[in-house]
Amino acid sequence: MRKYAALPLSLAAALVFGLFAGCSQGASPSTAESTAGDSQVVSTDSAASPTADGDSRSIEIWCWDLSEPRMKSNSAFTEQSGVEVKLTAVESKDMAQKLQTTLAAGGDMPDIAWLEATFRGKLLSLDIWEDITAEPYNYSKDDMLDYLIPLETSPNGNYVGPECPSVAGMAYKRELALEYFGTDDPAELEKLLPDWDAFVEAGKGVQEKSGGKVFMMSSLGLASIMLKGQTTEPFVIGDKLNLDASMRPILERLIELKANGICDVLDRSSPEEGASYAGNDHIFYPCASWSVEFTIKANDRDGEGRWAFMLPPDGPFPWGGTVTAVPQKAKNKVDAVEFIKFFFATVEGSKIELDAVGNFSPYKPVYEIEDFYDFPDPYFGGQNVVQEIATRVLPNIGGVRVPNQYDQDVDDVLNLAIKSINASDGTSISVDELIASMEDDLLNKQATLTK
Amino acid sequence: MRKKYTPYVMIAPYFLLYIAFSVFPIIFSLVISFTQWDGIGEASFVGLANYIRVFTRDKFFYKSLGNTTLLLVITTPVMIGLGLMTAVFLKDFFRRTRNAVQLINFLPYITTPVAVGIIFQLMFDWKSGIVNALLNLLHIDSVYWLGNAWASRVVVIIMQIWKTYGYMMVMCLAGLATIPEDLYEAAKIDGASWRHSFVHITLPMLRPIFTFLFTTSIINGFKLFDEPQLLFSDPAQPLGGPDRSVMTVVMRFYEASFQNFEFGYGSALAYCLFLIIAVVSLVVFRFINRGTED
Repeated sequence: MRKYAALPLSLAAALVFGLFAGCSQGASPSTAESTAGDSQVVSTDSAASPTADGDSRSIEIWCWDLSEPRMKSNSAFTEQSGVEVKLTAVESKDMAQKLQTTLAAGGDMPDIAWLEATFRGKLLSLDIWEDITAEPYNYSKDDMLDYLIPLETSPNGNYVGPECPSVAGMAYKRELALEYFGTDDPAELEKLLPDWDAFVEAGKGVQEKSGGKVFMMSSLGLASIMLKGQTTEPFVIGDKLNLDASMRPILERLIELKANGICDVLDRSSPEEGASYAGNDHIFYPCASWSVEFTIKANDRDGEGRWAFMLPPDGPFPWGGTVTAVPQKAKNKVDAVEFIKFFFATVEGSKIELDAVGNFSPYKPVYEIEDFYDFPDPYFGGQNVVQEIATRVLPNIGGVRVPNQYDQDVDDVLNLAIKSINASDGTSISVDELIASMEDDLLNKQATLTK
Repeated sequence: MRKKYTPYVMIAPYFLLYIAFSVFPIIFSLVISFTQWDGIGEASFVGLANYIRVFTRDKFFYKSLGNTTLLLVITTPVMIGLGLMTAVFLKDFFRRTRNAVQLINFLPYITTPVAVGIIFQLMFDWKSGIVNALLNLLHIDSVYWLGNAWASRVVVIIMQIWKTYGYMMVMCLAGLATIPEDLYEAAKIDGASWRHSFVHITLPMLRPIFTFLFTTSIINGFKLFDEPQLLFSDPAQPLGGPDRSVMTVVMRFYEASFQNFEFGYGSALAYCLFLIIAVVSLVVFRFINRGTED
C-alpha cells in the first residue's frame, strides 16, 4: 500500500511546488517567457556573449511589432553588441494596463517598453521611467530633433526615451484628383487647397459633380486626426479643463465638414474604411510616415501608380509616434540604453531601421546626409515620398501638444462627439452642447479634473 | 503517522490553488476597496470614501447600471423563451433532424467572441452592412446602427440573444429529457392537447431548470462585458458606444481599474456589483420558487 501511495504523493507534491514556483518572482533564464504568459515571444539568434559569471546578455522589449523585418533589424544590434533581443507582444492599447498590473503584482518589468502616442500621456505621468540622459547612460538628447523633446519628457522633467519622428502629410488618389480638380500634380493641388476653407469649397464641388457619391475624405475621424494635430492648445492645463479654447475650433470645423458632405460617414479604422483605400469614392487620406507601408499599401495592394503625396491644408502635423522607454525596475538598463543609442543615435542604426522597417530617425546628423532618404516609390508614381516627408513635412511641423495624463480620456470624449456629429445632419448640432457634454463626461470619468 | 497526512497532501493542491486564486483576491480586493491605490505607490486608507463616491458622485455607475439592467431585462426572457420553444419543438416535432439543428443553434455559443464582434460590426455597418442593404431593398432608409444610442442597444441585444439562446435550448432539452413520457401519455389518453400538456406538464416540471437559467442569466447579464466591448473596441470608438448607451457596470469597473488605474475605486465598484447581483439573484430565486416550500 505504501509503495502505491508514493506516486500520487509525488504528483501532489509536484503540483504544490509547481504552484509556488508559479507564484515566485525568481530570476531564472526563462523569466521573460513566463512573465509573458500566453503572449507571443520572439528573440534574435543568440549570438549573445556571456558575461563574467557565464550568463548570456539579453534585453526584453514589450512591443507590438514582432515582424520579420523588425527581428532582422534587431539582429544587427545583437551581432554588434552580443546582446540578445527578446520581443514580447503587447498591444499598444494594453501596454499601460500590462505595465501597471505587473508593477502592482511585483512582476518582472521589461527592459524597454513602447509607449504609443495615444497612451503616452498617462504612461509618462507614472514615475516609473529612467532618465536616460543621466549617469551611467548619458544619452544625448541634444542630438534628437528639437520638436520631439517635449513629447519624450515626463512631467517631472525626466527625458524618458527617443522615438522615430511620426509626422504626416496627405495622400490622394491621382485618378480622382485629375477627374475632379483637373490635375494630379501635388504642387498644383497644394496651391488649390492651401487651407481648410479652400478644402471645404473644393469638397462641395466634388459632391456636386459626383452626385454625392465621391467624398473628399472617408471619415470625420480621420479629419479630426488632422485638425487635432494642427493645433497645440492643451486640452487640459494642470487638472483644469481647457476644452473651450482647444476643442471649439476642431468641433466647429468637423461640423462644417459634415454639413457640407466633405467627409463620408465611415468609422475611423473600421474594416469599411480600410476597404475604402482601394475604392474610388474617397480622394484624400492623412498620410504619416508609417501610413505608406502599413495603411495605404496594405489596404490597396493593387494600387501601384494610383497614389500621390502632398502637404495638407493648413500644413503638416505630428501623428502618432512611439517612445522607447526604460523602466526604473528593468534588470538590464545599461544594455537597454545601448540598444536605444544604436537605433536612435547613430547613422548606422538609423539606416538599418529605415531599410528594415521604414522608420525615420530622430538623429539630427542623418538629415545632413543628402541621399539618406532618397527612395523614389513606384507605388506613388515615382514620387519620393520619404524625402518629401524628410525635407518638407518634418521642418514644417508647427508645434506639438504636450502629452497629458488625460489624453486618452479626451480622445474618448472626442470620439463620442464625432459619433454625435456623424449621426446628425451637421446643422442640428451645436458646438456648445458638445463641449458641455464632453466636460460633463470628463468630470465624471476623472474625479481629479475641474472645470 | 504518514498515512494520517496523506489525504491532506492529496487535497492540498486544490486548496492552495483555491486560496491563491479565489480566497486571496476576494479578500485583497475588499481591503483595497477601502484605499486609494494606483498600483505603484503606497495605498492610502480612505475608509468608505470609494463607496460613497460610487453611490453619490458617479453618474456613470448609474448610467451603466441602467444600461445593464435594460439589456438584462430584455435579453433574459427572450433567450430563455426562444431556447425553451426551440427545445420543445425539437423534442416533439423534429426528432430526425434534432441533432443537426441542435448543433447549428449551439454553434454561436462556442464561437470566439472576437469573431462575433467583427461579424456584427460588418453586418451592422452604416454604409456597407448587410442589414442596411436588406432594409434598403425594402425601401427603408439605412440606420446608423453603431452611431445611435438606441440602435446600438438593439445590436447588442440581438448579438446577446443570438449567441446565448443555443445554450438555453440545450439546458431546456436536458430538462425535458427528465420528464417521464408516462405523464404525456396519460394526459393524451385523458384528451389533453399539445398546448395543455405544455402548460400543465412541461412548464411546471421545468421549474428547476428555469430557476437555474434565470439565476445564471441574471448573474451573467450583470457581468456583461464582451459583446458591447467588442463592438466598440477600437481606440477610435468611444468606450461604451454612442452616448455610453451600452456601457455596462463591468465596463465601468474595467475603465476605473485598468484605464484610470484607480484600483481602490475599481474594487469598490466590483463589490457594489457583487451586492447588486446577490440581492437580485435572491429576489429572483425566491420569486421563481414561491409556493414550492411545501
